[in-house]
Amino acid sequence: MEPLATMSGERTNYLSVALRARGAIKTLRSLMNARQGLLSLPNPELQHDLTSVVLSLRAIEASEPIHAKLLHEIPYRRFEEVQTLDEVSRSFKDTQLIPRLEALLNGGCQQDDMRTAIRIFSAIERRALYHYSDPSWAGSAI
Amino acid sequence: MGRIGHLDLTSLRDQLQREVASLYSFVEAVSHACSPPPQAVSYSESSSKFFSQISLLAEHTKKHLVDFENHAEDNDEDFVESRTELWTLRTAWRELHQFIKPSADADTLNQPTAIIAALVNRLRELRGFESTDFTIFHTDSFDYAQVNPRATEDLVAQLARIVDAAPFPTDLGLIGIPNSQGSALFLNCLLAHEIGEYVYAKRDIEAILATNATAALERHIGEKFTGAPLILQSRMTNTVAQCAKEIFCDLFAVRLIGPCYSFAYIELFDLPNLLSKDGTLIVGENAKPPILMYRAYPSHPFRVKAQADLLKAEGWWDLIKDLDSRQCEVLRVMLELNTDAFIEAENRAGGESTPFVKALIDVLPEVKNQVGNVTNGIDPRLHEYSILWKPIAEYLSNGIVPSTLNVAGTDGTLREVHATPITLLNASYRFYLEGVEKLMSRIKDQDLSSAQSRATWMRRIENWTAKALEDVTLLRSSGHE
Repeated sequence: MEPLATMSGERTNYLSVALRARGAIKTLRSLMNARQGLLSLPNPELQHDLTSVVLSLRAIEASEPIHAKLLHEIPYRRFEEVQTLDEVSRSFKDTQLIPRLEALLNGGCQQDDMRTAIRIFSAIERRALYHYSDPSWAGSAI
Repeated sequence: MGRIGHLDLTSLRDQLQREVASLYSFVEAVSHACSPPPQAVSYSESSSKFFSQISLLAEHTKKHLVDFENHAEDNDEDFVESRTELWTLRTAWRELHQFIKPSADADTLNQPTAIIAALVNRLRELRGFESTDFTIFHTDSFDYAQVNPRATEDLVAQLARIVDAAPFPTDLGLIGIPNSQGSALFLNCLLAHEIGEYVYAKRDIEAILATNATAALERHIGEKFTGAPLILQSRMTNTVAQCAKEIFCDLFAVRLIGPCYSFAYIELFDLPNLLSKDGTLIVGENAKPPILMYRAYPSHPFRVKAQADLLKAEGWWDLIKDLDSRQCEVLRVMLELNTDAFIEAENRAGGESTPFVKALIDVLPEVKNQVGNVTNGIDPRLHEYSILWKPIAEYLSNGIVPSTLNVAGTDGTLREVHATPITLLNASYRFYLEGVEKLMSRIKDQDLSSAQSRATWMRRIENWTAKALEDVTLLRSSGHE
């Protein structure tokens, strides 16, 4: 199964991941600049972005043998998204990452949580752009 | 390159302004082809809409860059985060580049307008796609499709979100055609596959098929799958789901336009070379192309078998099985081939891909189910074809454009009939495959042994059919049908 297992995802999908992350950063920045008390995440796109990251992170956690049964309960995530999150989460040193993102999803408005969210989206954006920019994609050599 | 000191803000601001100017210039260059669109040629309404949206997106991107140099004052972490935005914007415009100039090249003189109109009108018969339209662009490669409509739509939507531009119309898709095929007709039946990709993305079928693929891989790989890291599971699922998508789009195309899609598919990939001299399937090592799965795609024979099975289930096969062409023999041998042959071939080749082929076979019923759902209620035009294919062939064999047919009713009286585009395409493609000798035999001094002469008359059959398609589309739009 090795030849199939080593294949990559679809290039444009990595760009989608990067753009979504940038869109989320933009919304989070504007919420941070707004007055306190207005930070209840009214933005459905941001909620979608946060939910997507939380689900992927949970799926990565659930794929550990101890949680294997949980994997069936997690909705399908696209390969490029899972791969990018998987790579980012390994180097992201914040054990409270999921609780912080969930706090935002639940209407929390702590600046620290917002900053954490921006940091993870920024890491996702850069990693996804790295994959998109890989010259080994057919026809992408500059 | 010299290192920029943390405190040298003026220098850093200048550097950032240069980088922003470079991006500004890049966006201008990429969007140039459609801002304003060329006036010397004419474009379809959908292309004009596409150009307007791209121009708007370019203007908003450029406005968005104003004052970006202020990020020179950010702390280290924020600076890196902010600077990444320029990278993202440049990358997004790099991606858009592949559609913009090629769309400007695909003016109405350089695109197969007759068949596109026929296909779009056919799509609009499906629930939920009544107002869909497509912008056509040219591709350098000969790969039809290969544009990921969901990702492209997501790209422009997210870019609009970032630069505060109005979102793209949700019912505007993109279709790529090889730049040499702007005037072809029959081969462009393959565009139905691309429309299938659009439908697949719009109806979010990927998640459903991926779930089925995961379950199938669990059955065939067992603990080696369930115990693998998520990233590997996701890759394997992605492989099967990608294959299932191709089959979905093929079967959607067959449901949408009938066997002419399969004829075009067999023609493009030259699949009559699967047949030996006596018309039987070449098996084993000599099979060209082999029936083994590609790295990430099902083999062509696998795909044609799925199409042939659907054609039989729909009732088309009974109407085309006597077609005098090796194209039809390809369909016949694939119908007769047992699905197990694909698994056995993988086993003989080492078995690395066997679980993927088995999983794909398991997912096929759900693929068919989804195709049935999205095309529910569409009339395949079988009955009409069964009545009109012979009159259309007779008109073409006499060099007459089959726009209006005089057909004898059951009482013997002649009635004026206009075939639908689907019947025209299928009947004319049939004549193109088996009738050129009849046509040439009626014309003086034609050399049947000359490929050049045959090609000339085959092109004429395409042109007459395209003219008939234009005529019936015009009649329909003016309320005469």
